[in-house]
Amino acid sequence: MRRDLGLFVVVNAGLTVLLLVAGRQSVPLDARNPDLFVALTAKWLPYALVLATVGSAGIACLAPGVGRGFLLRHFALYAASPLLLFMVRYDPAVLNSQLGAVYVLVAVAFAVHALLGIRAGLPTLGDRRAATLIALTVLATSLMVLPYDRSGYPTASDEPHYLLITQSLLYDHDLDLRNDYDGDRYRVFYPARLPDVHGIGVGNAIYPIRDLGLPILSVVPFALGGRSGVMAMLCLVAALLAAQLYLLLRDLRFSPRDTFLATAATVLAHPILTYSTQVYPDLPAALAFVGAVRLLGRGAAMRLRDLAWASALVGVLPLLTTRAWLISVGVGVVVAFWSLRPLFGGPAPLRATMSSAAQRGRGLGAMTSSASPRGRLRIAGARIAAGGLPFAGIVGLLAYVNGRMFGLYLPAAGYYLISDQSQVLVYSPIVGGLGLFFDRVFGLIGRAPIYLLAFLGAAVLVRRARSGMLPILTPLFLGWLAYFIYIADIAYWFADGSPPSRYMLASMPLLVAGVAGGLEAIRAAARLRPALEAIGWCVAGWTAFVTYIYAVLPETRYELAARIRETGSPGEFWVFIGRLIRPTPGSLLPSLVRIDGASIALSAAWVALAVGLGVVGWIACRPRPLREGEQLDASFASTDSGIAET
Amino acid sequence: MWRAAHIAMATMLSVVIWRALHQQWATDNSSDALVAGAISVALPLASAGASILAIAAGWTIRRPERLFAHDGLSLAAFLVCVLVLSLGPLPRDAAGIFFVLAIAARFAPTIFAIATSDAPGWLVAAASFGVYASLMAWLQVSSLLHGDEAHYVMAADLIGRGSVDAGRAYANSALFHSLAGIDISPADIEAHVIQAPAGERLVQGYALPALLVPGWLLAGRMGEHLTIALIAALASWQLYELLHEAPPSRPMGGGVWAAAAFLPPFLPMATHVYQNGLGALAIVAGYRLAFTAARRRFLLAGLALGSTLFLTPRDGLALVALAPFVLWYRRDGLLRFTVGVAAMFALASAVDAVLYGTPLPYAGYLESMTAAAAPGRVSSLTFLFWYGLPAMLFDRTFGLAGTAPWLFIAALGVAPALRSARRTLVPAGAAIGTTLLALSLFRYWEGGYAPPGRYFVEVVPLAAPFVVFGLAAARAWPLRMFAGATLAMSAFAGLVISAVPTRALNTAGDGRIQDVYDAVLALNPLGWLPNFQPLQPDWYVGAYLRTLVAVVGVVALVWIGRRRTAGS
Repeated sequence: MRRDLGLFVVVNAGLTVLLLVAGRQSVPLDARNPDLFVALTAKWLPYALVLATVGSAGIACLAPGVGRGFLLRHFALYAASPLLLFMVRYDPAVLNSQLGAVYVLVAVAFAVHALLGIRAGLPTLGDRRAATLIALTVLATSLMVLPYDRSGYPTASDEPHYLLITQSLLYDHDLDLRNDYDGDRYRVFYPARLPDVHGIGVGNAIYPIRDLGLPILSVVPFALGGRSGVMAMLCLVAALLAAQLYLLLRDLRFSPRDTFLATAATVLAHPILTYSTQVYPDLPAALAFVGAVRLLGRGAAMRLRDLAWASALVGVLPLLTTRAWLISVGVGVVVAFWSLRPLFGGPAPLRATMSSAAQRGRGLGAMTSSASPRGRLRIAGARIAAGGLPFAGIVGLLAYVNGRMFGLYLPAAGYYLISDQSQVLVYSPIVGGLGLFFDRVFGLIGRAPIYLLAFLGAAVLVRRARSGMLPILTPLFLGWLAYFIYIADIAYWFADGSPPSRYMLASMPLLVAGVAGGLEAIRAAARLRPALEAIGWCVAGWTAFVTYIYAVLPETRYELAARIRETGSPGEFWVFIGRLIRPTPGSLLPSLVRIDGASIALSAAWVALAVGLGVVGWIACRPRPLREGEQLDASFASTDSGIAET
Repeated sequence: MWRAAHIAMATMLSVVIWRALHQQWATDNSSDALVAGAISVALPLASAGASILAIAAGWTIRRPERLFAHDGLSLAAFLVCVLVLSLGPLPRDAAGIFFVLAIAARFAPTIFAIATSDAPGWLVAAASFGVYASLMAWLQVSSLLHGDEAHYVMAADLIGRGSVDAGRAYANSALFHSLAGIDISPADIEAHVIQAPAGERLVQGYALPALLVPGWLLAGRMGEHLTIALIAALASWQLYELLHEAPPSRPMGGGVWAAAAFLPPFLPMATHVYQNGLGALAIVAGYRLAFTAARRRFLLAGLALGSTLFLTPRDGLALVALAPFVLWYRRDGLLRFTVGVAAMFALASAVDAVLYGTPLPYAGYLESMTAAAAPGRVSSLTFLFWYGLPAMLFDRTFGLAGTAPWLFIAALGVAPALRSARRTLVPAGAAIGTTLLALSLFRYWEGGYAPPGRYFVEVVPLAAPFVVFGLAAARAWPLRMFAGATLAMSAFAGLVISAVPTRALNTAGDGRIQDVYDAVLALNPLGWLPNFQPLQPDWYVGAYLRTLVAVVGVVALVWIGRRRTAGS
């Protein structure tokens, strides 16, 4: 295999050199966009194929089961090159989006190729290695899309303001944005004068109302690569999120197959993949959320260090985005529970002392259960400190910084100060909740119907909770619930101006777990299994297609609620889809921004469908005696799990 | 249940696609009304036909769920091609690329299913016809008739009007103009019409025009192309059967069938109005019936191979080459084979006696050669085989290597094939060798103003089993990469020729496919091939030096194949 890999790398290097030579040829004199043509053929395409080579080689190294055929199949990725070069050479008037449609296909083809390879090697892979490989796939795929997104489309909505804060931190070492808004330094990532100021004037200074977490994270990447560096950092965050989601699902004891499918179908799709090239804090927030949940999921086996990390991650959430306070509240309750548990009748103390137990790295449950009364008190103190101090420290620091800026020592001081300017909470969770899922323009299901499987899998999660998975499902559910109720209640739940489902992003881990549950329910369904499988593939296909469209045509992902209200338009995305598919599927979705009779009826139908899927899932996964023919399946399932456990 | 689901999905999506492609953007983004028509009508029809074939394939090979899934994926790929077309205006050439890719995407599930299973003949023929007919739709949009094509159609029109008098046909120059886009020239008439004893007649004979008559009368030019596509589809079916018989239990047979049927040089001949596809059908069917079929039918074999007497002398070469092997292998079948050939000989002679006044097969060609022997005329034979043979094989513009390098995988398979399947494949090798040698004596080895490799099309089915053995012998990485690269380059050439058919047409000094390679890849992987057009005084120095390299390469492949065989 080593020899094969060596040859593989050499041949790819040769092909890359050929591609570089081919790409550097002169473009037609009358080319519409010669700079883009040259960039595309001489830089991005070789870059994408080098990334693909690294990804394929990495997968071949880490998953020995993939075989030589996997490496051979990699060369099919080069098929896009002559097509792209043909378009550039023979059609001077070709549109950027037409070139992008072919270029992004390289990323799509690589993702499919890599996933097929990982699936082939899955039986021999451990969980961490499988998670690493999926992360590698996500990283390579999103990095391939990055230059197209970066070059073709400027920042929009809140993105330039986050980067502006980063610039201020990097170049001025302060948070006073006045000189940044007044100057034109931001033109490197925003082509015109910024239409508004996202800050509060305090004296001569303007301080940002945007949360500081992302700008702080972005300082080094921005210093290294400007906007591209920040986008690359977010691609890395998406990759880490993919790995964490895979491990979360394995923690929830989903089979490697379901875990793999659920992770692949969600992290390589909208909204997670779309937001890997968007400068918003929601993706890092999702990573912090899932990280905290996984640490807390160890339950009684959790070590002090785990508790401290979980607490820190809960503290990081409001630093990233104020909305994530609600996730912090949901998860924080569980952190508090595990911190305070000894004070409210934790397990009876046994002989061992806290220090010796801690030295051996045993879990909290072991420590409390084996400590003396005095030791138990010390343990309680240590746990409270571990669970509280990191959170308090981060939030305190945030409050201090806000105090220095606004004179108000509150974690979300900026938003508090402007809260009288616009109504945030409108307390209409039904509209917001339905809209977040089913709205035609801003909802999740129209773009990523793969999440319909989450309704199917809800029952599976409930059964998991009943069978010992409560420690991990509780923070996951509470964090999601608190956050969802909040964003469903805010006036601008649709987060217009940015790609749809931005506000759902941070709470995605529960939905991904639901999707895995849906896959398990499909496997468990007896007679309905073929139909459910077909539906599953259809929704996965549509989700992948939408993700592709969003990557190729970024302009279709930006909608404004005011325009939708005024015109009743189905939105740019559905207008475009109508060119390819007529009647457009968007007509089956309600509008929760411009509510009319049809929307009410459609909303009711979608709710009924969601409930129906939940019922089907419940029926499918209920325990039933195995019939003779099913013995085999059951044994396979246990073998499957057994391999994963190993 | 899968079948029902597949039918439901296909029906629904066919309606959806039909409606989607009948929107204003199809007209707005097209360079002309013909292109818009192809996008609005041909694409949805092809897509619906492909779904029907996929359903049928799932049914017959008993894998409905697999075909359902593959058809769904294929629809997604189709939508991606439509997406590019819908984004904005594209010139005809670029639109053609995506049109052809869309067709390839839609038929891929059925082709893949056929290639990886033991499919019934009707499905093979139907799938092939679907692909050829779809590509034919684009050919009509993007190219007029060139070379001999217009003359065949003129003759078909003439027969349809109850005459064979070529002089009368060429009196109607408006028809020629509408077909070829130019007025007919005296030189053109001189090259295609001879003064036979019975009057002015077409040199190329009337067999193909007679077959084209129903299509011409029913649907005009489209009917002509559909007839050619149907003939090619039948040849594809026979090739498929041959590859299941000649190299027994070779899993690559299906893949090689797909390559032979859907790559150059066969693919262009499945849509262009030439009789090479018909010749290939006669030869492969006759070959099967005589040498490889489980039940040999020598009378039918004789009739099939004898039917080449109605076509061109090039096709008759295969009959000449194969007849001795019938005697060698099956003395008992010789009589029946001879009866079959004799019957066709008699029929062809009789027909020509009536049509031309000369009671011999190929009367048109014989009359033409006689006329060419007159002082001041140029003979079509040169006997310069050292010029014609390497040119047919290696010329970068007109040779096989320029557009169909995949056929050189056969060199790797020669030794293993002749060792493993001597009785079934020696005749094929002999037929190919005879054809090549004989055609190398032909002055117009390029095949006229037609897609390259035209004269080799008749024996492509006979070369395909050697490719199967060649692929089986290519176990090492470098050999696999060689095979992959030649297939990829052939596929690229096939894509370009199908999308921009005029790129396949060259005169001396042209190199339109090579121009695409140069423009697209900068380093043309086939640019090192020789150029046998004597445009410069010392052209032969470079040509033969390059040929030497190519010959060494081919010999090396044969040697490697032989070593592999010896090793195993």
